[in-house]
Amino acid sequence: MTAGFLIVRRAGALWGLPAAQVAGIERVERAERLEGAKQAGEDSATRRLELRLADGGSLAVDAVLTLAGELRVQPVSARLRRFLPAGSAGLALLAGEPVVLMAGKDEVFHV
Amino acid sequence: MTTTPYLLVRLGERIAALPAAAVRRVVRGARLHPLPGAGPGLVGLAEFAGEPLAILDLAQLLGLEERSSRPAVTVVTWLGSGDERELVGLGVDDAIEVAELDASALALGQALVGGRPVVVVDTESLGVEA
Amino acid sequence: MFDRHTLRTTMPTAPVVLALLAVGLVIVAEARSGSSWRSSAALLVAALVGAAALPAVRRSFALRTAKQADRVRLVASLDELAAADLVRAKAIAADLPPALSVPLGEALAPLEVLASRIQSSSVEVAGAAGAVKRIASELAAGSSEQSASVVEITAAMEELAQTATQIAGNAEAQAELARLGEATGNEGAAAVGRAVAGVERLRERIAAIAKRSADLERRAEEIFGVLALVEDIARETHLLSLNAAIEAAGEAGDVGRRFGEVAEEVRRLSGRSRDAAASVRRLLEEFSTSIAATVEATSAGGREAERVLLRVTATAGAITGLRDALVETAAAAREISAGTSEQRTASLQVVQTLREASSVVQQIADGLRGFSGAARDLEEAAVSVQLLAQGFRLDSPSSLRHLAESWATELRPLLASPDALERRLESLLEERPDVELVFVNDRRRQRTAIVGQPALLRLVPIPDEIRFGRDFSDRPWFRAAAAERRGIVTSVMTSILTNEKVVTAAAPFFEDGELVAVLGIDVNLERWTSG
Repeated sequence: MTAGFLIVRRAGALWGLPAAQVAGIERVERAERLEGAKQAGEDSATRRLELRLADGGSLAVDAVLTLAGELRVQPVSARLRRFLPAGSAGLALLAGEPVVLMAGKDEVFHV
Repeated sequence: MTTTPYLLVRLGERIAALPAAAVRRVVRGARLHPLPGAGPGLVGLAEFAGEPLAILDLAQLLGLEERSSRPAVTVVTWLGSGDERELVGLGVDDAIEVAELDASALALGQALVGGRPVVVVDTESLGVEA
Repeated sequence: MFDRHTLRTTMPTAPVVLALLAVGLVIVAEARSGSSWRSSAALLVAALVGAAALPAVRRSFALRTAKQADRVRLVASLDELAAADLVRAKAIAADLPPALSVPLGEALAPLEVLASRIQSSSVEVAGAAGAVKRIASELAAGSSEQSASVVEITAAMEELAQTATQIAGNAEAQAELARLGEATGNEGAAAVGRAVAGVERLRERIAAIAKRSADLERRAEEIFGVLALVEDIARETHLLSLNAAIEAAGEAGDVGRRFGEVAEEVRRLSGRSRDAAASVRRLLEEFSTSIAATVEATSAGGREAERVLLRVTATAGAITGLRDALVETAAAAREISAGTSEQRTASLQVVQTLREASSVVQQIADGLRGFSGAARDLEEAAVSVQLLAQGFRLDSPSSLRHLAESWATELRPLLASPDALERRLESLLEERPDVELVFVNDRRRQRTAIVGQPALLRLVPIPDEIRFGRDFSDRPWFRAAAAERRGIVTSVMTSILTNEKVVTAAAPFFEDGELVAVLGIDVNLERWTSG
C-alpha cells in the first residue's frame, strides 16, 4: 500500500484513509457518540469536519492534516490485528506520530 | 547445566521473565499515543527507531490480574520467529535485571528466582490466539 | 546553575554503548562495603558518574587505541570517583590526554557542584536546627521562671486584698496599710515589670524561630529537588545497565560475558544509589514533619505570648492604680469607708487579672516543653542528613574527609619528628576551634602524638600512657581508615572531653603499601555546624 492517504485526526489519534475513498470534505458541526472511549467525558464529541466518502457514506473528523503521497507502511500482522481496531491494515509514522491506516472501502470506523 | 539469560520484569506483584535474546531495548518514558476503540491488550502506539511500534500490556496478555496504572516501562521485543518476527512493545511496571535461568525454564513456563516464582514468557507464541 | 535540562542532554539517548561502557565502568563496578550511609553516598556518586562519564568515554572512541598508561589512569580516576573522592578523581583525570580529560572534566564539574551544594546546604540546615533546639530549651526554662514570679505576685496581692478587707475604720491600721500597700505595690510593680520584659523577650525569640523554620523548610525543599534529580539519574543508569546486559546476552563468548558482568555491577550500583536516595528522602520527610511541627508550635506560642503580654501589661497598670489608691487613702483618713471599699474592689480585680495571667504563662510553659521535643527531633534528622552528605570528598571547607586528607598530607613529613609533629598539630588545632582533639597514632614507632583544645584539657587532661605504646587498632576510626585506605568520617559518638556529640574524621598513612599511621580528628558537631 503506497498510494496516497488522507491523514485525519479523530478521537485523539491519527488515521489514514486511502485517498481514493474520499470524495469531498465539508465543514459541519455534528455531535456524535463514541464507542469504546477509554476515558470518561470522551463519550461524545463535536466534530467540525465531515468527509464525504466515495461509497456515499460520511465520516466526521476533528481535523484533516494532509494528503500523504508516499508513506512507509508497516502491514498489521495477524498477531496485532487482534489488538488494533477492526479494519486497521497498517501502521505508519507522520512527523514522528503513529498513524493507523485503514484498508479499502467497506470498512467501518468504530470510533 | 546450561542456562539462558532472561530479562526479569515486574507486573504488579508478579515477576515475568522474557528471553533476553528476544529483547531489543528497554525504554522508559516513551511517548505513548492511546488508540480509542482498540482492544484492552493495546496500551497505545509509539515511535521507536523511526518506525511505528504497537505497545501491548504484558500483564493482560499473560492473563494476570488487571492493574489500574499504566505501564511505566516498555520492553521492545521481537515476537514470533523467523520471517514472521515482528517488533512489539511490551508494557510492564518495571524492568529489574537480567538473570540466567535453566534452559528448561521456557518449556516449563515458570521458574524460581531467589525463591520467588517467575512466569517465563514464550515470545514466539505470545499474543497469538491459541 | 545546575539544572535538570543540562543533565538530560549529557545522558546518552542513543543505544547502549558497548565497548566504551565496559572499559569505563568495569572499574566503577567495584562495590565497597562499609558503614551504610558512607558507601551509599559513595555509590550514589558512582551511579551518577557511571551515567555522566559515559559521554566522556563515548566521545573518545580512540579508547580502544589509547595508550596503556592512559587507560590505567582513566581506571584510577574512575576508581576514586567510585569512592566519592572527587578531589583525587579530578587530579588524576587532569593528566589524561585532552580527548579524555576534557569530557571527563566536564562530566565531573556538575557532580562537584551537586555534591558541594548538598554538603553546604546540609551543614546550614543542621546549624539552624541546632539553633532552634537551643532557643526552644531557653524558652521552656524562661517561661517557667516567669510563671513562678507571676504566681508569687498573685499570692502577695491576695494577701493584700485580705488585709484591706480586714482592717477598716482603724486610722492607725490605715496608715500601716498604706505603707504596706506602697511597699508591696512597688515590689509588685517591679516584679511585673520584669515579667513584662521577660514575655517580650519570649515573643521575640518565638518570632526568630518562626523565621528559622521558614528557612529550614526552603532548604529541605532544595534538597528534595536535588534528590529527585539524583533518583532520576539512578533510574536512567539502571536502564542503561539493563540494556547493556541485554546486548551482552546477544554477544557470543568471552566479550559478551564480560559486558554482562559489567552491566550487572552497574545495575547493582544504581540499585544501591536508589536505596541511598530513598533513605535520604525518608530522613528529609521526617525532617519536614519536624519543621511543620515547629512552625505550628511557634505560631501557637506566638499567639499565647501576645495574650500574656496584654494581660501582664494590664496587671502592671492595675498595680500602679492600686498603689496610688492606697496612698490617697492614707492621706484622706476621713473617707476611709468609701476608700476601703474601693481598695478592696481594686485589689480583687488585680488578683483576678494576675490569676489569669499566671494560668496563661503556665500554658505557654507546657506548650514549649512539647516544642522542645519537636526541636530535638528536628536537630537529629538534620545531623543525619549532614553526615550522609559527608560521604563525598570535595575540595571545600564543608568536607571533613577533605580536612582529614589535607592535614594528613601536611603531617606526613613530620612523622619522624614527634616534637615538630605535635607543634604542627597545635597550630592546626588553633585554626579549627570546632576540633576538640587531634591525634596521630604511629604504629611503627609505637607512639601517639595527641593535642587537644587547651580549654578542654584543663578539665580533662590527657594521661601520658596514651602517648606511648597504646594500640588503637580496634577503634572505629582506625579500622575504617585502614580498611578504606582513604579519608573517612565515623558516625556520631559522645566525646569524653565535653560529653557532647562528636564525629571523627580520620586518614591513613601508607608506606610501601603498609599502614604506618592513622590521623584522627575529633570534630565537635555543635561547634562545627554553628561555626
